Amino acid sequence: MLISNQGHLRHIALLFIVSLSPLLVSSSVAEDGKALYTLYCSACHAPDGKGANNGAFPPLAKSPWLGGTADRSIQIVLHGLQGEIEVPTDKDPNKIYNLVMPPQGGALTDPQIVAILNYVRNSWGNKNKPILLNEVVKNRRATAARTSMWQGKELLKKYPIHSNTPPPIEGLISKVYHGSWKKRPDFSKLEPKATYEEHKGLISIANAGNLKSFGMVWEGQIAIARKGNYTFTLDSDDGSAIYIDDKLVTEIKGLGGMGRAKSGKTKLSKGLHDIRVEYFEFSGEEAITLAMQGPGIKSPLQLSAVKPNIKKGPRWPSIPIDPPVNGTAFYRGFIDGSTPRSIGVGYHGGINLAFSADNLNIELLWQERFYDGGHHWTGRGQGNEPPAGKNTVKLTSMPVWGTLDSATAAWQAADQGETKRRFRGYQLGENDRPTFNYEVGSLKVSDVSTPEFDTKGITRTITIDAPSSGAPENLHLMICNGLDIKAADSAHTYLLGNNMQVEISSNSSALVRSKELILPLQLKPGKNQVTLRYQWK
Amino acid sequence: MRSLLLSLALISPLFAAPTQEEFYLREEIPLPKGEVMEIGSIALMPDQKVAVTTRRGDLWICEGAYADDLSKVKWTLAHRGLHEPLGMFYQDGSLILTQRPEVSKLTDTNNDGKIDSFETICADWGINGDYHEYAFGSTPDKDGNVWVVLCLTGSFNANSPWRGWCVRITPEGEMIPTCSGIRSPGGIGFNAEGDTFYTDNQGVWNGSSSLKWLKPGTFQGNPTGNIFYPDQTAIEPLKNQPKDGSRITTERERIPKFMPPAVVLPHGKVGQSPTAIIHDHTDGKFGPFANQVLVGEQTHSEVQRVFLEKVNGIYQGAVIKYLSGFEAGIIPMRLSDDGTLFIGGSNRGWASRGSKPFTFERVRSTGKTPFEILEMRAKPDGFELTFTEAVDPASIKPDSFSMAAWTYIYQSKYGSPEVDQATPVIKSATVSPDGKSARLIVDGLVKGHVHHLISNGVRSSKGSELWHKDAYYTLNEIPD
Repeated sequence: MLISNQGHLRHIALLFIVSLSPLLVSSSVAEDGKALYTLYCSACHAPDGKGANNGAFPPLAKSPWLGGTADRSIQIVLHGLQGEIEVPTDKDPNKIYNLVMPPQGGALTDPQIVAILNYVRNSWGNKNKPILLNEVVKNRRATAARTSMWQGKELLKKYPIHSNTPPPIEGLISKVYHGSWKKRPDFSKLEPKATYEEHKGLISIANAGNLKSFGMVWEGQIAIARKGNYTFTLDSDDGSAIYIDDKLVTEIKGLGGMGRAKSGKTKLSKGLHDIRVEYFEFSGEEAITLAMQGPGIKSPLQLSAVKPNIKKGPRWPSIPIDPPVNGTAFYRGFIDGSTPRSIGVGYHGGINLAFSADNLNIELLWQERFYDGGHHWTGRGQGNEPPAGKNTVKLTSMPVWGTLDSATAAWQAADQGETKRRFRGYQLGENDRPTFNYEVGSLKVSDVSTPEFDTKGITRTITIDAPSSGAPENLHLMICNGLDIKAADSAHTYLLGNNMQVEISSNSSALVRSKELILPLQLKPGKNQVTLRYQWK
Repeated sequence: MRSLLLSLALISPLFAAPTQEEFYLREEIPLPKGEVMEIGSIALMPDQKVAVTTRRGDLWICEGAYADDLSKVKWTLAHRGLHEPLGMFYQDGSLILTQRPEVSKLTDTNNDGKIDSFETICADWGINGDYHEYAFGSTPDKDGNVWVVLCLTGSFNANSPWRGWCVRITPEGEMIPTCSGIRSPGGIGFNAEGDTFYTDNQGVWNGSSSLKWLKPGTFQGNPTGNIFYPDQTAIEPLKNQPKDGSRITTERERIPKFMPPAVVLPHGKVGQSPTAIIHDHTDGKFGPFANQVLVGEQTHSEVQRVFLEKVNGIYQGAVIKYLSGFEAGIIPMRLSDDGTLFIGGSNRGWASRGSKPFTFERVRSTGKTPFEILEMRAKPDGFELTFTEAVDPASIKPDSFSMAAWTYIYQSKYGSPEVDQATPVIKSATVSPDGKSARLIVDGLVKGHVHHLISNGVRSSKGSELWHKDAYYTLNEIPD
């Protein structure tokens, strides 16, 4: 009886487990945040949360982006994140990333998001209170209509990152003085109109209210954890000064706007030190920022309500591209100022051009350094990058082969039928200098430039091979548009804006219109030549 | 209980789990010192030269990549300054490249090792400066056409002409719009029959990444590029627009041109970012998988193996994991006639498990045949498996297998969870007389679902377990 009973019970228990097992499996899967993280997130954020490839991708370990409200984290997972973001890493407290986190809201269920975020927000040194399913459900509902990824700035505006450290300046009070000064007054001889407690411990001019001209003095104490040299960086509109233990550390004198930041160093022992900041505003804009750097402080410590604009390292490393000696450098990326199909050419000796294969013209000419690949060759390389050198001249920004029915008619770009444009490529000649080849309808064109280093310019020869049937009527070449054009003293020479001139050799005379220099093309069957000599003035 | 005990007993210490090293030798090919070689395309040239291009736009020629001693490889810089080529092959003394803005023919006309002629064959598609407007180009098809798949602007929009389309470029430079519906491709290539496939990445309208068949005139699933139907005349626009939040199987009923993914590469489980497509044309020189398709995987730094079959005129089949442990995210692959697989990779901008910033590697068969599922074919009532070696007949029984099935939401949101889960039941498993194949009778096949077969209990006649036990079959059609 007893035995059979036990067998019966065992049978029931087994059935129970079997029948429940699908549920158990699915709930354990849903709750295994680590496994889900490994599957969906770790390729970029790394199994140790430090960001894949030594932090080439944003770390989650100790990331301030995960702290505070859960909404920020949930929204990033639901809708993704793109644009520039700043995330402190072990190596760089102000590391800028510009990558893309694709939205996961369509791929992950709410329980999966809960599991992943609870794992991430409580691993690798992160400590946050658990997210509840309800919070994900609510977030998903609230932003159900959203179809685009969050931009970093947009997200931070909605869900700011607050540090929960104690106030940077302890026992901070501010005094407001009424008056109008063109240089910092001796505040010890003035009576404050009001005194405030600044509980946030940050230098702020908010308590000056709507005053147009005023002075403020803040006094408090800063706690120094390690003895050593500390740097205070002050910026203000108008003047200001900072004193530590009654000793002037740095000062911004007289009237002027932001961007006149000054830094001063002082040696401090461990413990509390008096800090006093004096400030006056004469007229116009007003602002003050203050930051502290020193031993053990990774990221400059913000001591003002407005974030100090401390000069950061470059967003990407510089990777200069230089032409080899007696050679030519090429760059086919997205050159700012020209079209997506532009081809950068850097001649040895410091003369450079961008030829647009879309518009069939040299659109940019510049001097000295050719190009920097750092922008496009770091991360995903979003955006255009301008030439690296200087004295850039933008000659045209439109298709340059076109027709003109009369001297006053509107420009019609060659495009269809007998004037269809077609880029055909390039051949390299001496010193790897390129000859560009293209077609305009039945015309076959070759276009080669030779740098003239002594005269600081290029000579460009355009050879147009017209068929025996003849060239299209009214065909014109736009030499320059968008710059002020004036005839120069010498014949067939025109000033293009302020620092470039072009000399035209052709069998016809150019037409000068408002910001347009147009050359009529009277083409004979066979080869025709136009020479353009561009020179910086 | 009995089966659990039995399968425990079968995991005998006599047979260690198979490892890649037994079957394939993976070697890193030394790269030119100080150069950033984020390889985006590979071309095999005569005299055992190999050309590679980098994402930065350099073209290098490698000699000695086939030699036993790789320390002697020699690199020659042929040009710097291309526009992110993602497709290259050798033809009649020239290299044909698919660059971001164009298909071009590069030639060293004076044989000094440097390219001096850059002929633009076709530049008829749009680019607007968006970094995501990638163009992946194929090797030539039997008519000499280069197939190019054009990624959407930012992978979401069609802001430049022909974004979201596959186009063919004829040798004369004519561009033939061929298929709409593309999102974000990672590679393009042919199967052994010469049909064209590309890989598309998980994202909007792609519940998971997949391998897709570019049958001319078909719609591949992402409607964003459909705005360009009126700019061509050869293909009729879709009569019905796809419904958001549906299933591909449902939408196929409404949209006859809708070509379902031939093989879904389940997101996370198999990979996260599929890339290059080649097939094993070496007839045994690269292991026992002649004519099967190999797919690169960027995020997981792996190569997957795909068995394809046609059912009711549609391609479908199974993906099985294959090679792993590569040093960076795989982008291009090429397999030479002698059975040397070349892979190149980078992880700039998109992370990979392989943690080097870039890599160039080769893989060769050791000559030892792995015990694997060779083919997985759909049957009206289940599947037929063939194996690379004879199996232990005793191991072919329902308990040796298990199966799960699911599909994805077809939606404008990014990706999809696995939904509509089903649990097909393996009712019987019988082995063929030669021991090289097994027939599974399965209850509860679901049209359109991924069928995940796990073959934990299968053993070879020598007692070895399968190198890879998971196969994922996409059942677009159930054969009659």
